[in-house]
Amino acid sequence: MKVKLNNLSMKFQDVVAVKELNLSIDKGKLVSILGPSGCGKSTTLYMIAGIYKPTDGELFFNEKLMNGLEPEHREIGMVFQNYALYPHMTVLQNIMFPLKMQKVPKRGALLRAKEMADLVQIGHLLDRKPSQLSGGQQQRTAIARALVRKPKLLLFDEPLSNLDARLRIEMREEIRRIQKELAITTIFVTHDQEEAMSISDEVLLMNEGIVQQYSPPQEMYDQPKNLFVASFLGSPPINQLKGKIFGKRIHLMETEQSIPIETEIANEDCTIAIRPEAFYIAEGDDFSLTAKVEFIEQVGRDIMAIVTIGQATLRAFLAREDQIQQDETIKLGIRKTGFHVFSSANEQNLPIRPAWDGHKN
Amino acid sequence: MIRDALSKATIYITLSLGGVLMLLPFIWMLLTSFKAGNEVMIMPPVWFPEKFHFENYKEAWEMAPFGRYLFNSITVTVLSTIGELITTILAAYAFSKMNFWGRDVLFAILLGTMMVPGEVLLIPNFVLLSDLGWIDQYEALIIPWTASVFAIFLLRQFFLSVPKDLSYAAKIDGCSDFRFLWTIMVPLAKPALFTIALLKAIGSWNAFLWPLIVTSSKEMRTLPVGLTAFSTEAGTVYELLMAASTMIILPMIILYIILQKYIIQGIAKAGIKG
Repeated sequence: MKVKLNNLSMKFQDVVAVKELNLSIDKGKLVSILGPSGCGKSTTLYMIAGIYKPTDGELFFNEKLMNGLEPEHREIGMVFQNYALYPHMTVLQNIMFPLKMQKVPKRGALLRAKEMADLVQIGHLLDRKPSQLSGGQQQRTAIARALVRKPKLLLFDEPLSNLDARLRIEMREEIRRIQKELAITTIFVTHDQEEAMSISDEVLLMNEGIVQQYSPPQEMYDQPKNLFVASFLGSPPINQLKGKIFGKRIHLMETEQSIPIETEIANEDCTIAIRPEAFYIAEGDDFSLTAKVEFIEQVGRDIMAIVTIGQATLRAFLAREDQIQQDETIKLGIRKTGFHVFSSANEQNLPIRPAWDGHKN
Repeated sequence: MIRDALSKATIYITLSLGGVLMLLPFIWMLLTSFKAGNEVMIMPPVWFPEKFHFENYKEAWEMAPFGRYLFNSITVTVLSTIGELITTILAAYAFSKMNFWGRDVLFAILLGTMMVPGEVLLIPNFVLLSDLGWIDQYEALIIPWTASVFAIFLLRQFFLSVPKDLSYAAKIDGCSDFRFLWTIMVPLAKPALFTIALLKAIGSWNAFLWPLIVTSSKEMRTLPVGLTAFSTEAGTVYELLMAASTMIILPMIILYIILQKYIIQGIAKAGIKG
């Protein structure tokens, strides 16, 4: 099913939770809605589900207007953060409940429920009560219940946040598997960027009720539209430096250093953002920034150097072979892909081309 | 080991003493119900009758139409308990899970009525019922007691603790509000409902003042009111009164023993939050 949101807005009293959201999701895609808490991502999901009535805008499923339709008639399935299983019913009764509400004949319902239980691999637990299941098993039951009515759209509201780290990875792969197997359009709300990046076809990043960027995950990481997107994605977060564009260079605030660029913009305050993994130890004629190593952390495969350039503290992933020492002054080259410049005025990505040479570009 | 046993012994002895103290009036009632008339007020008092007069029970039963009283009491208790459960479930759901204009103000007013002492309402309620022509009818005994603010409050708190997602899930599954209430919320609230039902049944069974005021004919009396039959101008026939009292509290004790199991089960279940 194709989903289309047209200027969808939601206001609670005076608070605008979601503002004029436009979005279009193709059939069979998995889209994550990502953002910090309170950004309006769950509200958006609840509007799509029909639990909240949008205060403005339109919602279409396959070109059909959905605004006035009750949730049960929207052909959706939903999975909640706390599973929302009916505690007094067995796993089987839980899965069959939506069919019972639809008055599906018992025998057919039973077959269908068992089929779904097998799909999510809980076929051996049908007689258990939810309280006798582990978190992962409960979430599998909830997924089976959401799928049993053959929905055209599957909605997940932070389904993995109550699970422990290992189970989370297992379950997200499981969700991806089931989603691909059934080729069902899916919307997945999460605050965990890693989760969103790993399973989505497209990511919608929101902040304070406003869409920041809607694109495939890798593109969002490599080409952030604004400073919020750049700083929200990536762990550790992207490094930020204050600067000023002047001539063909960006001058770093409170230092003598500058970065060569090509641009039409002149005389503008800006924020330079550099991914920690974009740094490398410069060689030969490479363009480089001079930094002082304050501290070194071992992080397994790489080392993480905490360095200062002027007043700013930055993090850089470096190779172990680089053998840098604490308090040493090093020359850091920059890979062009991890380098972005944003306007200080509106935080938008500025059209700037790096104009330096480096052997790792 | 020894210290453990000692502290355990202290606890049990203290609790036993408390228990015995609480039971004493009941024991006195039970023993008096077997005494002969002249043993009741004897000085110094005796605990045990010289001879157990079981015929007191038969005599007490025959002194007033207790069959009729029993029927009335059961009818009133059962109907008002069922009535209260229904109104409580509906009201608690509305006040906890539905959004409507003025909900919280309405609930605050409802809670405010709990501050009004029941005695103050005796006369206005009596006048109201008399205008409705319900005096000396079952309506007067049952209908004013089919709603309780306290019960609504209790159940509302319980309903509030049920996560919202459950009702959202049910909505998506195609379950109406009404159906959700009866198929999901009510089974979940079993322990709270048993508590409410038990409190109501005991209160209704033991009610004295109200039935006394709104009934005038013998046919409409309930058991506690019926006990007045043993108080005459010549004095109170204590041994028969006690025999009748013992018979009257028996059903409540049995009910309590049965429901207690469910209540403890419910509380134990609620303790392990899944």
